[in-house]
Amino acid sequence: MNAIVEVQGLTKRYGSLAAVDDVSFQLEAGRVYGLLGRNGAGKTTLMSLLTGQEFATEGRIEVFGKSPIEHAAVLDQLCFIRESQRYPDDFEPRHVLRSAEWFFPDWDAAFARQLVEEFRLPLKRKIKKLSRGQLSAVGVIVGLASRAPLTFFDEPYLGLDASARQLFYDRLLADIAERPRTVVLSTHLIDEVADLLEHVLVIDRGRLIVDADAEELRGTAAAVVGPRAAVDAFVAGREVLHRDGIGGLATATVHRLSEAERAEAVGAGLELAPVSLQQLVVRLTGATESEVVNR
Amino acid sequence: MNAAATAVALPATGHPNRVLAVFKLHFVNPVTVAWMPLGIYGFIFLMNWLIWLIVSLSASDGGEGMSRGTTWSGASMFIFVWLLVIAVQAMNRTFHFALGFGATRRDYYLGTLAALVVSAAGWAILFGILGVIEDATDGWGLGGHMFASVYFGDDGPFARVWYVFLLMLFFTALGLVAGALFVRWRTFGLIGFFIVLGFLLIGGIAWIALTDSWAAVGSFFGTLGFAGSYPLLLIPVAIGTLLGYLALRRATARS
Repeated sequence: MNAIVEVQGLTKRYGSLAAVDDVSFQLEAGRVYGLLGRNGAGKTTLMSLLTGQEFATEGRIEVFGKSPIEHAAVLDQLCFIRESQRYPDDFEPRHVLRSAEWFFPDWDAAFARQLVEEFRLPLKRKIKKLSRGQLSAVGVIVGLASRAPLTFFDEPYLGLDASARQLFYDRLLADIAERPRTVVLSTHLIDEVADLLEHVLVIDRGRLIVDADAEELRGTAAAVVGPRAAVDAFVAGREVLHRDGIGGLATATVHRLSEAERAEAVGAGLELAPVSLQQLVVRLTGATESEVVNR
Repeated sequence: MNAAATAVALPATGHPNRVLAVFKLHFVNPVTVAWMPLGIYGFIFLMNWLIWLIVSLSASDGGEGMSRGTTWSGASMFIFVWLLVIAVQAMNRTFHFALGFGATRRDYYLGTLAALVVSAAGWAILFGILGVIEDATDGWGLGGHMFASVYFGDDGPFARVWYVFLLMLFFTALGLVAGALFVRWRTFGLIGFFIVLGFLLIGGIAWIALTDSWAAVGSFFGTLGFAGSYPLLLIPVAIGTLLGYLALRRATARS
């Protein structure tokens, strides 16, 4: 195991609200992580804590073996692209890219120039006057060209059009294949990035509810489809994330289904359909308080 | 799980000098830090010069009276207020950004401080050069005064640069504290700062007035002279710099 990030019992409270609530996990070198969850689930707070921008209320964070707070040698290895990153009002993209060179030890100016070209980012326009998509492009370019060993992208492509997003995925994949590094991607467009993710962390109301290999996660959930009575009989006592039905037909999304259970379902005349990562996350985080209690 | 055994050590890459990076960050866009204040300053100077021209054309006693009168000019004060604003803005503009680029708060503060001291020095030198020209041209040909005003004494051009620099540092430090408080506690930080500052000022005045010490204060500064009084500004500068750092040390990038 090559853990570059170790988090133990991490909690961040703002008044009575626990934005991050007793979270523990590890990140390994050279993998792509998806940090998924709904708005306000605590994703940004978690990344701010990992990058030393916020102070933890409780718990321990080690990034490259040390606390990231005020530790220049650790911060040198990080790059955090915030969705709501504020830039100096009078800056233009060229100022951002110029100063990035002074801050990131592995900054690749030629790569940045190529990306500017590809994303069609105007270099000499006030940041304030950029469109939302162009603003996101600034962050994406800095995040890619910084080549930081641990890069965080927080909703990096708000407002980016489909081709720009595809460009981002392509460049990211190609570049990390050449220069392996750890990337944490927080996003709502889960289907789009599903193939990119190697490991998934799902956070809901500040708590980490999934910490699993992406492949494994996709394999364990299934939608069971069939006559209502048969579906009900099969899912009784199992972890049902969602139910749906039309007339006599029912669909139940079941979490953690073993091979034997799959065979049993097929034997009972039920059909098994795959559940996409996005559907799974929606099912896992969409529940209201009462549903969770009854589950 | 044993963290020490599994954690990957820090890769051995060269570490950039982040204090220098922050320093340069403040100057990356010269429009705000140089061209704009220079433009405004030039404009103020032009306005003043035109007024002197009008006065000298319409006055009957020649330039004598005006030369005396304009030594009390407040026109040059603009740059001091500008420096205060720049210091406040420097914080608010760049703190989140620099933190996002991985600067530590300590490096950010040192780099910002260095940038502000260097700009104060630059402005003071420019101020001094213009003062020398002003003296040499007998008040820009019209007996006007803007840079060689009475507030900076007549201890020669070098002393004037030194006094101007100290006064600039004072305004910068004031802006630095206000900026740091704003970054840390937003508006509440600023309001609190001005309330405390107000009470300190009123308290000081009350203390002097109630103990009937105006004369003593006057003779205190009189004895010190310009050369002795101006360096006293370094005391509030030092306090402000320290307070600013204490406020910024635990500031976060939340907007």
